[in-house]
Amino acid sequence: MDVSIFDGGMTVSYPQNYNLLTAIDPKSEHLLTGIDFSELFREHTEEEKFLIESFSEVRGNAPIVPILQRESFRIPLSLHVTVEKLDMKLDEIYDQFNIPENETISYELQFREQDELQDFSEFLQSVKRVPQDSYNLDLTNLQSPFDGTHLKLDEDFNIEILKEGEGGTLYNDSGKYYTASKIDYIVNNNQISVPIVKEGSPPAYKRVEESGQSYLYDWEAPFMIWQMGTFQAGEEENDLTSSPLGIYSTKEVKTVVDGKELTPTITPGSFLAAPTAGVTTMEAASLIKGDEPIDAIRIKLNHITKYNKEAQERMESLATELSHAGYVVDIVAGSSFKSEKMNVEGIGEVVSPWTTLGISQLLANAWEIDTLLSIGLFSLFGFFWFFGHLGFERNRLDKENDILLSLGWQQRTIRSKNMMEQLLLVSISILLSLGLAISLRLSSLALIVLGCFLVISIILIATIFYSNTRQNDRSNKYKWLASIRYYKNLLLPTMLALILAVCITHLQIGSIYELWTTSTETTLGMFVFDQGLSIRILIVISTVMLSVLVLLEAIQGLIYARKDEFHMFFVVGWTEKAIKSFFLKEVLIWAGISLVIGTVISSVISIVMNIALTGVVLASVTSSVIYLIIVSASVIFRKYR
Amino acid sequence: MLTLTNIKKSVSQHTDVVLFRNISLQLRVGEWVSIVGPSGAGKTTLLNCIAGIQGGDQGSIELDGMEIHQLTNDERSNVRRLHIGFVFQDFKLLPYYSVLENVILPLARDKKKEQLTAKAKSLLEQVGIGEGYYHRLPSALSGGEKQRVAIARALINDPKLIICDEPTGNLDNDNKGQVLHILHTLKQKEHAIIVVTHDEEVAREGDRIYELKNHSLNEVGVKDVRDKLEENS
Repeated sequence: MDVSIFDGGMTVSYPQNYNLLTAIDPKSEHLLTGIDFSELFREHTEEEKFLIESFSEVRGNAPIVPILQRESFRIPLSLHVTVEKLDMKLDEIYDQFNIPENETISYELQFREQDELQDFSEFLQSVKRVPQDSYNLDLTNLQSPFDGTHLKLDEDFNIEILKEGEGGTLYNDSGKYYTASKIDYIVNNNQISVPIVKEGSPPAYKRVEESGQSYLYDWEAPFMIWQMGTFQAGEEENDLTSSPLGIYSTKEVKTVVDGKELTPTITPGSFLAAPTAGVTTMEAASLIKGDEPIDAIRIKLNHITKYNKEAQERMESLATELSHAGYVVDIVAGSSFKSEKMNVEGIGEVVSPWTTLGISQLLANAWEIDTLLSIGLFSLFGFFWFFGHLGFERNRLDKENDILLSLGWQQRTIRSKNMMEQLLLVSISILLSLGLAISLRLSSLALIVLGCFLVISIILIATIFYSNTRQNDRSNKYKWLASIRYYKNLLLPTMLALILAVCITHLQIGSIYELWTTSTETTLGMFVFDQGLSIRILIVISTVMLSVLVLLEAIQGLIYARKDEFHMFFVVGWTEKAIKSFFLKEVLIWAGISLVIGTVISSVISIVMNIALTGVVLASVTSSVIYLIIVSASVIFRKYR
Repeated sequence: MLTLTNIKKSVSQHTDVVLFRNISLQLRVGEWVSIVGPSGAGKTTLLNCIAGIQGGDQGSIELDGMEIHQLTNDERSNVRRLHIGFVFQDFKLLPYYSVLENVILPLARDKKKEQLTAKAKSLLEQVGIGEGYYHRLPSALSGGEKQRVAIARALINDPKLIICDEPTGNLDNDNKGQVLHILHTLKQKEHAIIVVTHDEEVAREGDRIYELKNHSLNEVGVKDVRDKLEENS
């Protein structure tokens, strides 16, 4: 700290501090971040013009570097002042150093030789000092980056901020600057280490070069900064302004052992990712850095609307081209921050924000896998539902067919009638779907799918209605699960549909959980995840609702097929509650078997898809509970008489 | 034991079309009453009213001191399960349960299986179903065998009243004879029996014969049964 005495006053310079200044293309940066940087180009006020002119005269007409300062950006700084009284009289100094009585000490000392000043200093050091008082002054909120704020302490040690221009010759003095190398991260077995490159207090983790000059020592400084205003970066959480390149992030870094927050040091060699404290123009940057002012170029590829293979290929192609041209290329598309543990030499293990290549590709891949799986499982689900539905229909038509048979209709004619009725219903459905597909201008693929559906329906209908009912030729009863095994032809399609419903729901929930845990590691990931969450939840709800409809129809069909049986129970004296309890037990057995099979299958698929065990357990419990409730409710809230 | 007083029943709650009215009947312990009548006259509905399966519009039905239609649904179910036995034309045996399980079915939720099984075996023996049939499914039985199993099921609760709806309708003469013999034996064992039938031979077995026709129930003489049945057919 530099200290000088002048006219009975004492001046204290701030310690050298370091703030990151980033040159930007204000228009592009505005488009990307939404932050208004237009003040960089504003006209100077008359007062500013006068000040600039005045300073320029004594500073060798140094060019101006306009700066927009980041609001609320402060580095902690405090001043400890100890007041001591020198146990002497001023006359002693006047006498000893031959100072005329009509002059002040400070004035006279200006004209003395260096050895005399040295003697004066030694004299003062030798005088006995009597401690009087001490003050701790927090200056954190009284200084800001690149701002030569001058403070005045009065006799009572109250702080007063001096107005613009009142700070004397050091006003707007930031002619000294540093260029720092990148940190030499050492990545070994997923462990990131940060080595010290220069010992000191604090140590430096970057190689730093000091350039320029302060007006304190040289009036011919290379440039003069000028505050044009301030800007405000968005909140760090869930906000894209913290990315890419991370120049706005102020995420905290903590030690792993005691969770102590680490703050940036006032030297430029800190390992902490320094966010920008101010921005300037590219033209100004060339004044500071010379002919090669650009450290990084951010390239945004047009017409990329999603992270797919095509986008990936375009990015890779451009990156390769730039790399061959001699540039160092980092692909930061979809990049965002995540917290990463790293071992910092001299400090220990810390948790620090870390820029990743993002999870957008992961999200896109997960979507593709999910979509494929969902389509496949939904198709199978629909197939088994339709299979079961036709089974119930055939069962429902049995009595009617018996009557027609007894009236002399031929078996072949009855089957044709049954089949045509079903085909008519399917045709109406397909025509409605066709109309919808055309009105929504779906691709020809939709028409092909409809055609496939028609063919599959015809095959299924023919299979169900032209096959002979296999008579149960058992003479003795099944020892276990007699009623379930007796109705197995009716139950099997329903069980398969339930198994698939559990699989779809399970995989969706597991996938949401996995993507949630993965994407919330990064800010952009969380943003993208939030955007897609509602669609995913909609798919889960649709799956559950479809399953509810299928289960309700299946259980309704079962009750219809067994209505005589339930009536007999009632006639022989079973109460409604007893009948429900009997049927519920039976349904819970086959539904339980289906739930277990569905859960096992989907758990295996989930594990193969690298979904975390917690996600698998969560999905298993949730999907099982959902379907258990649906099945139980569809049995309980129903009349059996 | 069973007293019906002025029972009236409409076709449905929402119409005034009367199925039968002013039906009064008394049935004593060990008595067999046969009811004949044309199809659609309401014979099965009358049996349902007696058993509390359907409610009557007017009148009272008293079984062993209990006013059936004053009871709740569950209480009526309890009455059927504990005091009434049913025999149907189409047997109504559960297709996936064995003969023994079908017999114990009405009380399966009330008593221990071992206790019921012993009683079921005894009843099956009484109706002529041997041990070799105990674990068979109903589909492996003949019509007569099925009806005898159904009668054994009707007796599992030692009913005071046995209600039979066309018990021999699906049986050949041999099997009909066997079923009638069993019913006679039950009558002698002090069970009250109501049989709805179209069969003259079965009707004639009754101590009294009634005809349900033109909305009312009238007693007919044994000699008139043939004429009545011919009229109805």
